[in-house]
Amino acid sequence: MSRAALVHSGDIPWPPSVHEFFPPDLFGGNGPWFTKFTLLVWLAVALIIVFFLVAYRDPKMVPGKMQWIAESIYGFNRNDIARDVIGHEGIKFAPYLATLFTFIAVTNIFSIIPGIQISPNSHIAFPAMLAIITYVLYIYWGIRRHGFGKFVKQSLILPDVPWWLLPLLIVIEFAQVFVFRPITLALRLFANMFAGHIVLLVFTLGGFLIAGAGNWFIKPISVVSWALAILITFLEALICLLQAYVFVMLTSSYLQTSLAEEH
Amino acid sequence: MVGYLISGIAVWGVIGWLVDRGLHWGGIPIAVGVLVGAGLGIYLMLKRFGT
Repeated sequence: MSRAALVHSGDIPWPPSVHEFFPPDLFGGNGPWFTKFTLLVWLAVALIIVFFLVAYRDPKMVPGKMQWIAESIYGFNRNDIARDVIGHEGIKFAPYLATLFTFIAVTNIFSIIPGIQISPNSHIAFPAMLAIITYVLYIYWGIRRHGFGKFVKQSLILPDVPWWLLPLLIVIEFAQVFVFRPITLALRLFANMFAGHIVLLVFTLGGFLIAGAGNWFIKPISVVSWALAILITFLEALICLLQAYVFVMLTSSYLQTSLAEEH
Repeated sequence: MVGYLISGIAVWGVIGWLVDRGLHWGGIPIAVGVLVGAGLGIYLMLKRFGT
């Protein structure tokens, strides 16, 4: 492997830094117009479209393996997230939630696929965009359902609260519903994927660094470092799916509070 | 849910900090803001999600 040469040349990119998350333009341009992330996002979109088209090309009453997987993914989003969290009318959001779930899950999983090993979601721009879509969606539905005035009033003012407490609470409610929700939504996904990538880099590159150490008592410890890297990769797989689930779960929970009649 | 607690502390903590910046009371308004915010946050949580 070329990595062995890397150990001796002593230019392992250590310590891992934020530069890992700003890949260069693939076509050699100056700006970040078409980077690895751009490619990965389009790849994810293509994979999802092709997968669902193929799975539903010839639907059967007794589903085959692929159709079963596709139906499980959609059914999970429709029944266990949309209907259970939002209620019966939540079913109309199932297509959006299922799309969101598969997109985040696939782009997250890229972070542990050998050869790709980085997720677009470890760059704040992608989670931020997804969070903005959710933000617009739940505010749009809140206004559409209740009208602007009533939606804002319902979001900010709790029933049966002493009047002198209201001004103190309204500030918090406003910050929570209109400012912090989209920020925390984006930050949660971004930070998980960012940290996961950094941790994997630390253990993998750290292994090479230890292997390259002069002392023969230290060299064997690199195996421990790589073993941990493999274990953490499995943990990452879990986190990837969990974060996709959390994102969709919170999106539907926000939609639910927008659509709810009175608290 | 915990969001309300954090929002409360953040919002009133920042308001306390702004007051302190204007009046130079040695950080006391920040402490008051954070504590009041935490209390209000818990109150909100109980009201919204409690039975």
